[in-house]
Amino acid sequence: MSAAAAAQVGELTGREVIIAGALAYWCEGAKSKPYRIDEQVRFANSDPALIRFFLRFLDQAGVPRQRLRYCVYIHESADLEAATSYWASVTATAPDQFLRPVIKHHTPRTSRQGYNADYHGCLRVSVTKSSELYRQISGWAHGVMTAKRLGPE
Amino acid sequence: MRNLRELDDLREQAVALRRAGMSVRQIKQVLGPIGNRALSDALRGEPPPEWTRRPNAKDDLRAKARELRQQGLDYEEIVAQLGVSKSSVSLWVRDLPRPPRVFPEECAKRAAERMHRYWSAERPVRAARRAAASAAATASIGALTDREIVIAGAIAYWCEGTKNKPHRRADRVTFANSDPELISFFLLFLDIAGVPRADLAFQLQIHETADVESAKRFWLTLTGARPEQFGKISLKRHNPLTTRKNIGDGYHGCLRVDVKRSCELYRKIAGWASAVTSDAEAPD
Repeated sequence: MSAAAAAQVGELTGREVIIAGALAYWCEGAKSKPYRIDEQVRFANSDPALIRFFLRFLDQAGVPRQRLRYCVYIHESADLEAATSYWASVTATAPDQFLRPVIKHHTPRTSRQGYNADYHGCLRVSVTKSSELYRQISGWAHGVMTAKRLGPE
Repeated sequence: MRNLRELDDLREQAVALRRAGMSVRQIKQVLGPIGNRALSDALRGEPPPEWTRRPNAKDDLRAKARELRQQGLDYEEIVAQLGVSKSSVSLWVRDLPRPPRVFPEECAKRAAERMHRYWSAERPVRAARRAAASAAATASIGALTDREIVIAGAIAYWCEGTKNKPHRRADRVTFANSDPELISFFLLFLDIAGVPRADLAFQLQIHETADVESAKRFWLTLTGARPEQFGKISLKRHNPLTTRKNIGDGYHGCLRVDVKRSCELYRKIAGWASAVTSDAEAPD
């Protein structure tokens, strides 16, 4: 069922990458608030496929990879080095290009699931000098969410 | 050198011109080169004509500046009030005692006032610039094809919807969000995916301190759903220690959208989302 749906999608056009990427950013990225104007592009996620898709979106938006900064968020009880090299391979970046990781406390009382060999923490991708890009993304996302449906051709 | 006789002539002429009502400057122009000392000696005892005693052009401002200085204003403030140059103010008031030193708190207060003035003017300008940039991007999107809506909706679901986990398999479509635009878009996506609106169930999740009734009306209007489709409201406790910003008139809580009998739809969405994200791995 899922595979059939996947086949139906096929390859994406550049416009489709922009549409989906802007919406993904609106869901998962850092947003400016009325009480805290902050227009920097920051996207954090634990899903490697979504991270890769976001990188593709940034390529499509014309952001050079040198402007990206990566930062791993991970629990202190997990394997930081393994996680760093994991995200390095996901993003095709050298591990020494990563910013200092954010180490989260492990509370033994919580019943966090998803904590197993597959746990790599989260990766935050931020873009330097990105306020113009932020405005573009927020505009695109707003355009997508409020868009009219084109009548069937 | 002039001889004494010539000098006497000059003196006489100077006195005559003075009596005719000329100023020292004008007399010098008529007589040509003559020393200041010689001229003032010649004119001793001759009162200057009345017209040279005219008031200075800015006498009133000068008096005002001295008054302000005595009240303790600094040069900048006097300049701001009178619209004269700072050097003029300096010339006019430099003999008066300096006002007492301004204390740091007062300095900080004034700086804060200046900042406030600056930003009250600058903030709207910048907000307009930001809005214009976003509006241009919005306009570039235009209307969406069904395919584009499916792609974007599936990604939105993958970000905000409920997903199966290794430890919890549900295969159900549930989407929760506080952003009304995103909820509207998700409903449009469901329309295109072929879900009848009657198959939707909604739940409002909101803090107990908010205006629950108006939030409910807000979401009813937005979704166009019938009231029966709204289940029991999930009331969240308000923790007074937190500094939540989602309060006030703009806060409508979250809306959860459940699709009934959605096992198949869930699998489709998962397929679409994975196609969109895994396409990224393909070399361009």
